[in-house]
Amino acid sequence: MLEMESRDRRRDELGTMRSSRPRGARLRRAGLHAGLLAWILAGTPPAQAIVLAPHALFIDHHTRSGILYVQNPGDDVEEVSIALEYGYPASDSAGGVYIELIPDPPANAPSAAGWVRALPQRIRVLPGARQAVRLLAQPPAELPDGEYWSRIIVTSHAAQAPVPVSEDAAVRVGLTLEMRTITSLIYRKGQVSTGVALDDFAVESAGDTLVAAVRVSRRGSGAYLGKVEFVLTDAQGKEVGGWEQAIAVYFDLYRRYSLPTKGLAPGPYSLAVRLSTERSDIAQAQLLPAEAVERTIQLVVPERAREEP
Amino acid sequence: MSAGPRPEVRRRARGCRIVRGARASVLAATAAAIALALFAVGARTEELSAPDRPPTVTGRGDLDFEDVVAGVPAAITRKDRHRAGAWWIRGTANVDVLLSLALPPSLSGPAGAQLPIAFGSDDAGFSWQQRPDLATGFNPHVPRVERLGSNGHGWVFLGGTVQPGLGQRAGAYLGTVVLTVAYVAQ
Repeated sequence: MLEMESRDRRRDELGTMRSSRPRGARLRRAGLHAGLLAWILAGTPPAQAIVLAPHALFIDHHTRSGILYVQNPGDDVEEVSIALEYGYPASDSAGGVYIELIPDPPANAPSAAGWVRALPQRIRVLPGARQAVRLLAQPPAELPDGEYWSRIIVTSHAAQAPVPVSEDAAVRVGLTLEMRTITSLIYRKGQVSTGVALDDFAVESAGDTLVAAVRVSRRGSGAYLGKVEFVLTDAQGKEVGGWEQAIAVYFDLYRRYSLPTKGLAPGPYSLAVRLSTERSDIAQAQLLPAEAVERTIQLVVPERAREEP
Repeated sequence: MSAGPRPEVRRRARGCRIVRGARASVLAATAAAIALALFAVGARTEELSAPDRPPTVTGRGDLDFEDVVAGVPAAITRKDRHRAGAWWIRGTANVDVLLSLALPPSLSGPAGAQLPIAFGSDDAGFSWQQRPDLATGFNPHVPRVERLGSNGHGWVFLGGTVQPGLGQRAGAYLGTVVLTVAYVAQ
């Protein structure tokens, strides 16, 4: 409903805006108006979207296959392609996170991208329709027990993009938008375990924010899919702040988290960090359990410079 | 790839409240209306959404330069709600998503003609609302991590500048911008 309203509003605004523009400097001619009007009406950007489910796919060595559903809630036919590439979340030196994609992983990398295939790899999804894509694994015969990873890259665009109409002297420009969604695939064989070690935990005060730096490394043979929680307590042991965020540790990870603490009085505090595999966005049956890891650090929130009135 | 600035982590839920009396009735009526609306949508699309849903990216507006004058650069600001490119991202509330844009250096026109296009370091913006004027600017050439809003929504806006030459061949010039979205905690 919201989508329809927004699109109608955009169309109305588009018409108003175009009719009010100066025309003298343009390469527009009287005969062009009909063509432009046709393009405006035909070329009003449709809503394009693809919904994927699940957003994290787990495949077991016994079944060796999984299903990815591709749904088109938009108004136009969508052309969708599905590709697999080895990759995982990684972090940079500033504590930011990104997806490391490695098209040609080394031989010892736990990659499933080379032997999991999407069938089919290209589909056309009609408006309102949903299609199933089977992810079929054909692992090497001597695959050791463990966990193997890939990213599923789904690219979609409207099957028929609007093409600008141009007459002789006009330079018409059209840029279309394409969408790519990256989700995860985890393949498990045999006994797989996970865990995380908290290698470093530090905190610094930066104005109305505490910046908590966490350096962790994975233990076991499976990716650590969990969450990180912070609890701030004052000198009397009263909880004055709590934050949480999902985390995925495939190898090592260094994250810096901003914890907003506006209004916090200066003084001594304790900040506790806790890493656990309790998270709700992934089915419990798919989460590898691990012992929670906790640590507490003492800090002092300094007197802030008095703000100018 | 690199990431954007440090994300703030979300505050923990403090537990549920009990709703009583008239307030509960209003909520019940609202819930019924929402359920009816969802049923109507579901009848057509069989929505796959769940409380924790995969990121859904919807293209909501192509970068729309219309016709341009040969020899005169034409710019669209990311704050232009009529002509800027726009994507609507829906996903799990308060989660971090990686945004990465693949931008063309030029657009292809008639008989192989090319039209240069440039994207400045502030030509992309992100907002929790469909309000490009409120969006925080970022460099579209650099991947960035942003947090979806408490309703699970986020908007990406994109502006740019085309630079037609004096002798630019007339005709239609086309190009594609690709937005990649990924959860970073899977």
